[in-house]
Amino acid sequence: MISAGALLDRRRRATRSRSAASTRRVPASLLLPFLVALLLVAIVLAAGIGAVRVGPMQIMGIVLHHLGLTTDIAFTRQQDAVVWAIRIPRVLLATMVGAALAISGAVLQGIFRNPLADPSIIGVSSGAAFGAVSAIVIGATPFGLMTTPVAAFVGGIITTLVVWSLSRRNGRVDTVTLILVGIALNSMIGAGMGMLNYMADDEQLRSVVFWSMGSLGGATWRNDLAILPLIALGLIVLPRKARELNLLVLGEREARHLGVDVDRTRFLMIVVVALTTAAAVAFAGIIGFVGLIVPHLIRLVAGPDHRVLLPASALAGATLLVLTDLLARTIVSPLELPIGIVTSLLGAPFFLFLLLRTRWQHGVM
Amino acid sequence: MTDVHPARLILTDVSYTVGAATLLQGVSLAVQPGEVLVLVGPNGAGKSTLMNVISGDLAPTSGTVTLDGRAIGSYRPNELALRRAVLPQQSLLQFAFTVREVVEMGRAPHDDTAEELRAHVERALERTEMALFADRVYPSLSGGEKARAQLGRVLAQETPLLLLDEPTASLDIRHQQHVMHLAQDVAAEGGSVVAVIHDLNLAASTAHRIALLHRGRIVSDGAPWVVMDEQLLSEVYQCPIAVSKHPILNCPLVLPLGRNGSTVT
Repeated sequence: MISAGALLDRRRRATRSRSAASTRRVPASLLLPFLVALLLVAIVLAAGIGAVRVGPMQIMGIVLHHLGLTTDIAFTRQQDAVVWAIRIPRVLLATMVGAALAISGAVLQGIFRNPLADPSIIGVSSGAAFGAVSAIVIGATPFGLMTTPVAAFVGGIITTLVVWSLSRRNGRVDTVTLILVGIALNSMIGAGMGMLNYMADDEQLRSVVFWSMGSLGGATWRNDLAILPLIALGLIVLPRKARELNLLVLGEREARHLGVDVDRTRFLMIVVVALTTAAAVAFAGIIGFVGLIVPHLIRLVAGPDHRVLLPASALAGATLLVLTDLLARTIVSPLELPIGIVTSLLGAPFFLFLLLRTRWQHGVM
Repeated sequence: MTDVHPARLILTDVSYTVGAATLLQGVSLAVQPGEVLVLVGPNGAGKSTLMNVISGDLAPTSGTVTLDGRAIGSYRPNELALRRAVLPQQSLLQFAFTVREVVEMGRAPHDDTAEELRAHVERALERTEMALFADRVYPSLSGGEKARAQLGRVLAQETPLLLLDEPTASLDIRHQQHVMHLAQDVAAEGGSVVAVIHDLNLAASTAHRIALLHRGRIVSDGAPWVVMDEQLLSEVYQCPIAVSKHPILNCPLVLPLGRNGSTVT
């Protein structure tokens, strides 16, 4: 038998040799422009590929045409209709939802001081979806077009606060508890969703299914504009809290000792994250694992500093979702896979890998 | 004690209770600039609770805590961060920040230019002998290295009051000495240090003053030779203890007396 000390020592050495490599980081001055370029390429690809093919120049011509600029780039009426009325709203929704989910994931991981927190794993996404679906099945629309986002927000924030209060002990969130709480909440919400399924009529049932699987097929200019303010709020407010988030990751008490008004800062961030996630979920349903995978990859490349992590995650999350949506609607064309299924197919193994790696490195989490 | 300067930190009749348990009772304490005060006492004596009260994390149930002439509870978090730094017992950090980044966080309360930031961080890294580890990631460090990185962060904060909760617990003997010498340096520059130390000999050889806690009360407070009293220590720690004189440093030398109250032959 190997002694515990020797085992620990071996683990530590293994961790060390790995980390020696990971301190070589891509500087933000290179990473952020690269991610912007990548997102633009992804947008042009996604707007151009499909049953009707449209070239990059033609896309530019169509966009400029709608902005009131005439160019001599030729495009057909059909191309114009497909790109402007269908693909661009959809690509923009993918961009906004991807950015929102990724930045929310990164912020939640910081608040929970745990790299495995993700809106879908801990139940925040499904809480928001449950709120949205309840609103549909009950059928009341007290806030007009904003009823669904509002209900999603209420569901999302309640779930966040419940997870928060249940999984925290002595100022830190234990991974095992966090995931168990997430499982419990997800299955409770699942039961609630089941009940709504049961109560719903045929048309409502379609919406319920849509929400639980996630899809960007419902994208319209109107929906895009409805969630734009909420997502913009998240993308503007959250990066401004990056410095405080760095200190919070150090520890709750440590952050307070360094001058952070911990309770206020954290509450503000939770509300903004719930708003942003709810906005994403309101028209796109549950799209899991984006908030987990993206911040992780960015940390590997650029380190954990939230001043870089948050904007980089938003950009990479947008790119990932634009490309995943492209995949989801072309891989079994003319049919369309729900995007939530694709992200879960890709994300779940990745999550498992992270979980096992963390357990192996630290013994416990 | 004659007060030439007003004390930096004054605790007056501080008590702290949780439910039926009294964790601190009638604690009065003053810490001067230029002083290293070490808190000692058996497990559960209330040392950590006292540190939490001094740091402003816990509001006492009764009594007052005054820092630089103001009630500690009246400071905003960022004001307090410029006046006192706290080294916690242990810090769990799962994210791969480098040692340099961790130390930089200590400068958060200050409005540094990039140049000032670098200078302060370099100095803290050098003082804690962590300069060679500056680009290593924190989770890959050993326990002792982590402790020194955190100490570097706390030193970089450069506050007049420095609170160290068991700063030597995971360190080897050389680094234990090193930490206490750093504390003495801070005091020599006019700062005040309050540290919880378990090792009575380390306390006796490095503290200006020692306060002995027992069941939530300060039972003795004074120079090492005053507090390191055979009978008092034996009673408080419920363990036969002899106090002799350190042959070189001339400070008290604390020796536990084995199982039967006498040395094993």
